[in-house]
Amino acid sequence: MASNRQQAQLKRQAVWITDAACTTALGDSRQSTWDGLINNRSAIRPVNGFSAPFSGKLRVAARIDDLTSSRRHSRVFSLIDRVLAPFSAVPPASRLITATTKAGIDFFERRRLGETIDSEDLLLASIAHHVSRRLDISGPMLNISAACASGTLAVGKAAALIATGLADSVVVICADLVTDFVLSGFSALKALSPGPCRPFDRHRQGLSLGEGAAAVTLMSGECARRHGRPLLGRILGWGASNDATHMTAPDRNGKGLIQAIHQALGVAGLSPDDIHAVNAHGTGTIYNDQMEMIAFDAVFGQRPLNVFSIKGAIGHTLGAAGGIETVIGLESLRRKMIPPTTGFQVAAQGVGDRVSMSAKPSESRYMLSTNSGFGGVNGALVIGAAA
Amino acid sequence: MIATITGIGWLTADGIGAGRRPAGFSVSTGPMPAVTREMAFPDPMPRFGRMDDLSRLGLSAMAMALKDAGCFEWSQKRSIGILAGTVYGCLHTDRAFFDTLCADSGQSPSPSLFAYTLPSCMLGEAAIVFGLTGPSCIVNDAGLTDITCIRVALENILSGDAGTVLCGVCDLGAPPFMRDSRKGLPGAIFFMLENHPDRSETVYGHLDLDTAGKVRFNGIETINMIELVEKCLDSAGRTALTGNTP
Repeated sequence: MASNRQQAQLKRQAVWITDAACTTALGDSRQSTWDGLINNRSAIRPVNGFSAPFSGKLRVAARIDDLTSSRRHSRVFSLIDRVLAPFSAVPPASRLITATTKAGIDFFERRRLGETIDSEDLLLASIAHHVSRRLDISGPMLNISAACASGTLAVGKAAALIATGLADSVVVICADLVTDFVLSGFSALKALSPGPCRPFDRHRQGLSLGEGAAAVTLMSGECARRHGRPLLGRILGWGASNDATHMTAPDRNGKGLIQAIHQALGVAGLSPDDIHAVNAHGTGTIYNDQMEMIAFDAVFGQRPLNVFSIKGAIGHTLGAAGGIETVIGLESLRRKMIPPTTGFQVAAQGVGDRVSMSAKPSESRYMLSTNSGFGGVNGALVIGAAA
Repeated sequence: MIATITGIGWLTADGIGAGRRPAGFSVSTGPMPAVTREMAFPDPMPRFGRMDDLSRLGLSAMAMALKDAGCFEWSQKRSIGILAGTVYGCLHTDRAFFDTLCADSGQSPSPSLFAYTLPSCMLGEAAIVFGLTGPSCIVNDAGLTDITCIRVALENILSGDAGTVLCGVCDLGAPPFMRDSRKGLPGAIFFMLENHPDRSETVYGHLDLDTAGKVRFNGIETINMIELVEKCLDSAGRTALTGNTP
């Protein structure tokens, strides 16, 4: 990573968000997800085991019940088709970056339980191939897998390609499902909350999983003008790091996240004092939420800062989280409103008055969005208002 | 010039090696040898035995590349990124985990196996073992027979997002329950890419991207990882073994 001084010397062109959509358990659109968030609704519900061998294992998750699947198609393709439904056509030469942790993991389970299915859809890259066909994109494509920071790193990579002139238009699609495989794994790690998760709350007991997808198109200003696309907002900065301390737990001192935030601010040419709103990872696990607050203390000090998490409403959408949070961060800037942290009631130690159970008006022009995940990975984005 | 190659390491069905070591380089379709800690790590490392097969394979090839670049020993963490391509990722571990889940109707799935059901966990292990704090991610579907991950690493260096990247591919091959595909040849190859190496004597050659985004090694287009190793060895006055699988 270049130093902040080197970053300032790199000539970059502006990166514009020209289309943004999300599908979550709160709704199929950006609008319906936003409405649910702002009204403090949670889509986290009790779920049974999904396949016969696992029925009777009662847990909670934010699942999108009406996604369809078939012998040839995983539910993840139904999810992707749904998020792309309102999406504008993209220039055919656009590059494509997808992000997922488990892609068609439901297919994997069904195959192991004896069904005959198309096994190529088990590969993580299968969603990139699906999207390229669906959007008729001929440019280079790849899937990024970086645990729960996959979406954030995908948006950051897309922004870097445009900023450096390596691409004019990049489409980012992020998606992940909740299945018996995923639920049982997090349960085995004792990471699941028995009820809907409560990010940054004193009584938080773990995370809740959620299904979701996001679609974002990033363009250079010239490309957006040429194609008559609206300028919804900007990706100003991005950063990524690895804690290099533990496989499944974050660095308790938040060093990796601090590094990623400073990188993102350096790329954006902003100082910590410019940031007043943070869309945090906020999973509701003891260690994640604590680590994030330690990192925010280190970067921003004790000054007022609006921090929120949307995972109490839509669950932790894993590889899609960074994409969905980019869309919601953009929406927050556009509507000048900080959504409440659903599930939050009493501040945990170290949280102070940063987190609120109520929506708040905000004049912030920038939104910091952060994610961290297994394998010590951290990602940070700085999103800017359109004007 | 975007970056130079300062180290190469590999572990294929034909054996383990590094650019400046006597063992020749070749790739065949397998089967892969059992990967043991002693192949690449001189000292005992308890966590190696706990890793999944993908991590053992990847870390062994990475260790060889770091040794080849003179960067294996460390005392302070380093801002070096890791980027790895894979086609099949951790599907083998997915199966092993899911079998523990099916064994008793979901009552006691293995948490230790679940921790390795993300391919990026291999990078987490590498970050811990080698002290690497730069950006790390997996790209799919980039295997031995293409050059995607090198292109992505060069883009990251060009954009200032990374200065030094340990970059390569790692695949165990198609799992038994999938159709075989030559896209995902078994084996791991890693390169150490540096934008400003301070050890010019250890450079194999220079990497660039042309205007069409194609990867060029010393000015010549290079289309896959195997070819890139061969060109590096040629450049260093060494030759790869014949019969490499394209």
